[in-house]
Amino acid sequence: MSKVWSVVNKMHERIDYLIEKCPNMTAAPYNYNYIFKYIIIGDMGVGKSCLLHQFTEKKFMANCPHTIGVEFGTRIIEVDDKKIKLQIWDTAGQERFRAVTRSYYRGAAGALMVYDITRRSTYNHLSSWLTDTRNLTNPSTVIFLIGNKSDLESTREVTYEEAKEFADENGLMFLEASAMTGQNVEEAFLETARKIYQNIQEGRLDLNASESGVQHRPSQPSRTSLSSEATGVKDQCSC
Amino acid sequence: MATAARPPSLRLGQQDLKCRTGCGFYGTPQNDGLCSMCFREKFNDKQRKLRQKAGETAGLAPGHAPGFTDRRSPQHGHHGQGRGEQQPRKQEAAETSGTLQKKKFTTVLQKTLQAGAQKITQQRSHVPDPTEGQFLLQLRQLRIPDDGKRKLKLEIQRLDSEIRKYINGNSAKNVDELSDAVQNAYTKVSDIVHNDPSFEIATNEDRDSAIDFFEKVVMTQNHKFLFSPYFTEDEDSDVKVQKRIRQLSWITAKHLDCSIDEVNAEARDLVYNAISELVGIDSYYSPQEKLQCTVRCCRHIFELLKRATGGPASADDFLPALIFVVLKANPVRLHSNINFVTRFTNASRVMSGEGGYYFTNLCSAIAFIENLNGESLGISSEEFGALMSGQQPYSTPWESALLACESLHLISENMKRMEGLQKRNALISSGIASFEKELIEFQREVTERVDTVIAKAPLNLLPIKTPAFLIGQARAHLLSDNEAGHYQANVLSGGGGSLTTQSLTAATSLAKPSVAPEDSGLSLKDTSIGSMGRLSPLQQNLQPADHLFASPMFNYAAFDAVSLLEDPVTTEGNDGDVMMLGSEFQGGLTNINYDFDLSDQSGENSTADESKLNLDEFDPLVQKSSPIAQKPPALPETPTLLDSTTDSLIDSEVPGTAVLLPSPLKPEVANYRGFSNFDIPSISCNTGDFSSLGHEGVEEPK
Repeated sequence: MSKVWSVVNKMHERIDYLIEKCPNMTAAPYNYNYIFKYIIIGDMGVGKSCLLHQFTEKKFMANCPHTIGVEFGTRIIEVDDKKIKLQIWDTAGQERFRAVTRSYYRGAAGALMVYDITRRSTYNHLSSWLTDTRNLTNPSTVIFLIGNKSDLESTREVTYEEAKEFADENGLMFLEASAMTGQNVEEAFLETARKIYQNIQEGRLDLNASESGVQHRPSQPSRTSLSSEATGVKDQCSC
Repeated sequence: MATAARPPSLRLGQQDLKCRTGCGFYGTPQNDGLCSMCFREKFNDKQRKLRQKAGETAGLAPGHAPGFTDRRSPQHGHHGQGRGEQQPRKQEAAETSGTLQKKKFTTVLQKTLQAGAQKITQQRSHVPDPTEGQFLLQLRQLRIPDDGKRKLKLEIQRLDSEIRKYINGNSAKNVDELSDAVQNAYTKVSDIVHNDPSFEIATNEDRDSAIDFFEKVVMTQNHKFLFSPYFTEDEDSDVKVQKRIRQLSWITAKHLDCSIDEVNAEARDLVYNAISELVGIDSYYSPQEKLQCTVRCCRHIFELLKRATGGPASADDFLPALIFVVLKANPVRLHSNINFVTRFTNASRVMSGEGGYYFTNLCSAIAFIENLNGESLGISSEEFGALMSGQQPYSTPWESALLACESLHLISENMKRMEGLQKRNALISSGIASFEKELIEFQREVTERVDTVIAKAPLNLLPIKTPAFLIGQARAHLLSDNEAGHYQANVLSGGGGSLTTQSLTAATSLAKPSVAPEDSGLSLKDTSIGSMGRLSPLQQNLQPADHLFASPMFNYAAFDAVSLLEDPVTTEGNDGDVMMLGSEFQGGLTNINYDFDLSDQSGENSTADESKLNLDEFDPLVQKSSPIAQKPPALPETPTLLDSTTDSLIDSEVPGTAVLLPSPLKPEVANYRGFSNFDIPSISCNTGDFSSLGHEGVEEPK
């Protein structure tokens, strides 16, 4: 069945492509096909906000104030010629705000779990972050482990191999990155998006599920509430 | 409300919060300082004018240009989630030029999809998602007549489809139009709930909860379309205000002239509570809940102020405190949330009451933050600029306290971990100690038990003695063997060979049934002797060997028995019976050789060293003779002679020098001799070549 869907999806893409090529059909009211919701989690001071800033602004934010609660950033990327808007929630690492930040896990399509390679304690806490993520997100949520501050090789406390093993054991994607130099930052965000996109293509992620963390075209409606008879007719996306 | 016009100030009178038109309701900066009612009126006026203008110029109703209609449908069928149903609009679209191609694609697609896809959509529609199911449950629990519930549900569906229609429509979208439609629906529902006969018996409270329910359901279901819609600038202003608040992180309570003690633990805790509520706003879906968050946040601030000033807090103190909290919280998607509430919550909610008051204050706080400058904070504009650009370093008690707090948290966490480790360590060391004790105890117990057992049955290793009468007996047997036939000699050695080889003796009895009875008798005798002194019959032969080879000896003895079984044939040959037979059994003989040798060896070892000296002398002789020995196994006389020499040679191997070459051949020869002899005990006794010869000589006459 999933094979059939992937074929159908490919056909859709082909049609999309042809339609996009057709000059009459341009001028979509917005310039992206999907919205993916991301969250960034990890201990305080591992560089979550800096990673986000590096990704959205392509700049390193020196002496950035500590995030309280949650911050937000967006960027439009391209995967397989599809424009994808990433909505990224950057959560606070402080224990004090854990209760609030937890409410933002809901409906995340991707979770970037960050630790600091120069501070072992941040690595040791990963399992508790992972438990939180697994409990509060869908099974299809893509979790990406990032070892930040890879530029500070001299003060490294967590080896690549060790973290890689942890990632493999738990089925996470993994990269070491540096928000300072920008190394691998782009890759981590894009790889996550690619994986999510792949999940959609293979039918593992239900776009209609209320908490999938993915919206296909921002205006695409889902079923009408409280009524089954009214559904379907208006199930349409405007392109 | 004049914040937008005047340079922002921290003091707002009650009057400043009200609608500019003086209608008495709260107004917000987002609505140009108007209350939502006045704003809508004004907006509607504007729309009317716009429409008129547009109508004059283009002759078209704005936002309803047919060109848009074609554009939207074609791409539509393209995600494989089972939404392949044909849309009525699609056909319209197909009719227009340039879409024929697409139509082909879509129809093909629909054919392929419809079969499978429809099934899936149908299935889906039967399974309400959790939130929807919850709402249905809540609807059932509403304390209004069933008739009212049905009406309410109908209204919900109507507004729902209206929103979706608008969002999916091709017209140029204006969020204010949408807001208008929603507000009209609220008014309509409120009208129904208060005036419809089906709600007659419901109390006012129940009516209100019905209206609230209506709002909550529609807003939650359509949150993703109505919250920060793509056709508004909401998201951009979110990012802007977030960045600005980040830049303003150097602001302290002092700058804002508010009475929050940033380092007081209790005060900080309340600030944290307020911040948590503000941050949580974005995680709720319905405007009501967002508003409730705001209310809770502001209550925390009032509580905080009450404690700080020691009396009831004045409204004058409230706004600076709220600004401080907003600055420190940097709530996510602030503008989107504020706009969502102003646009889509039931207008009466934000126009009056506690919620309205707090919400208006929040809006003012945001307006202040966006517009503040050095003057409003009581610092020079140069300093303000330097702080904003990050050129001037700063440290706020808040920030450092936050850091300290987290560090303290980390310290306490580490302390806890250390404690845990310590406990585990203690546990491990105590475990080790007890294990050690156990080990010692175990060792003591084992040694004790072993000692007692040893004491009970002391192990005395005594030199093995063969009683003289046994030797005599054996001799007698052997003599009778010679008379009765070679066979019995075998049996003797076989039976005595080892206790385990009784089966072998049995085999011999099978081989020669005629002698069997005697055999068994003999073997029995032997075993009985064995019980007295272990392996007594053998010991006669092997006694000295025992010292040399402890256990293997017995194994060999077993083989001995086998070899001896076959001996008779050769001896027959010796006796001159049949040459043929002897050659036939040659193979068997070769197997036996070693065993025999060993016994011989042992015998020699025990007897005398002199013989060895003799052997040395004979070494060269053996080498010469051995080739001859191999050739004629059938010849009885010569082999025996040679045998004796080889025997001695083997023995001499211990000091052995020149024996290396013929060694593989020797055994056979040695064998030969042995069998010709039959006399095993005698072999052991007589070692030297001459002596063995002599022995033979002795035996023969017997």
